[in-house]
Amino acid sequence: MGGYAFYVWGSFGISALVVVAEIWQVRAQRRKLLRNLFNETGSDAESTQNSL
Amino acid sequence: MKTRVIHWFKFASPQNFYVLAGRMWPWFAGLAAVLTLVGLWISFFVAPVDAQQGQGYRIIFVHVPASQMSMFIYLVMAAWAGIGLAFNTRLSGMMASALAPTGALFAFLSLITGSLWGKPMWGTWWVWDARLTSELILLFLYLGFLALQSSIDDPRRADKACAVLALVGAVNVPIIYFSVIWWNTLHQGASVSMKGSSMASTMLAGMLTMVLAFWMYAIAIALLRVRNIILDRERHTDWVKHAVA
Repeated sequence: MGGYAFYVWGSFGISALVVVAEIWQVRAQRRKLLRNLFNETGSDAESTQNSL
Repeated sequence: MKTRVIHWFKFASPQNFYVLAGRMWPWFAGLAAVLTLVGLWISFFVAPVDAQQGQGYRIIFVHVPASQMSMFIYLVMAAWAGIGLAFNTRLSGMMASALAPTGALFAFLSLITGSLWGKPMWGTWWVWDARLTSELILLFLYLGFLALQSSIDDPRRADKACAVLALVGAVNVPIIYFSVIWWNTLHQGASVSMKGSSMASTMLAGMLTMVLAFWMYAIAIALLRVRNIILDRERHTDWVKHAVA
């Protein structure tokens, strides 16, 4: 990378990291929301997972 | 002849939009993945080495898309906020809230990648240049929006307060965009304009592909997040309870 490796890979690396972290955060939030919903209604989480 | 009428306002209801967003996001996510792969391939294997900056210029392929999206998402967010204030539609505030974190992340990435580019080319991580400073203000506006949202318990009131902040802050976006023309900045002017481009065509192709990839990603993640917000705010409604029960 002609002496620029740290800057180029640093830029692409941190961007990849941010994207992965954001996707993970949104998915975790959804799992938590569904879990709370199932607990509130007392329904079976496994069978209704796909209905929402 | 019978024409099919699309009832657009049907999707203004969170319940219907929840379903629609659920059907749409995989398409945008798929496009984002394909465009990213193609964009990265062009960025590293097709685009030539720059005459002045060597390999270092390749930061452009992530810096420009991130910066552009950080500004564009703000405008879309402000537009949703404005619609919410004008028509009092619930979904508008949810859309604005779904876009804010992604916009903040892009503003952050714009500043970080810019800093990583500035160090080898300008010899400094940071200068209080008009372009850099106004982009930093954009990040603060996003953070202010998010902080305000979480500090007000009633989501509808939070939406209204945030909408005003988003609309007032929108004035900063043209300031960022034109800063390189209005002031003498260390940051260079635009390489691509309506009149043409000052870049090699493969460089331009790589950049535009990455811009499109970021667009698709932003749409996909905003749709996913708005589904979470809808689920959260509508959890006491019948349709959510029926869907769960």
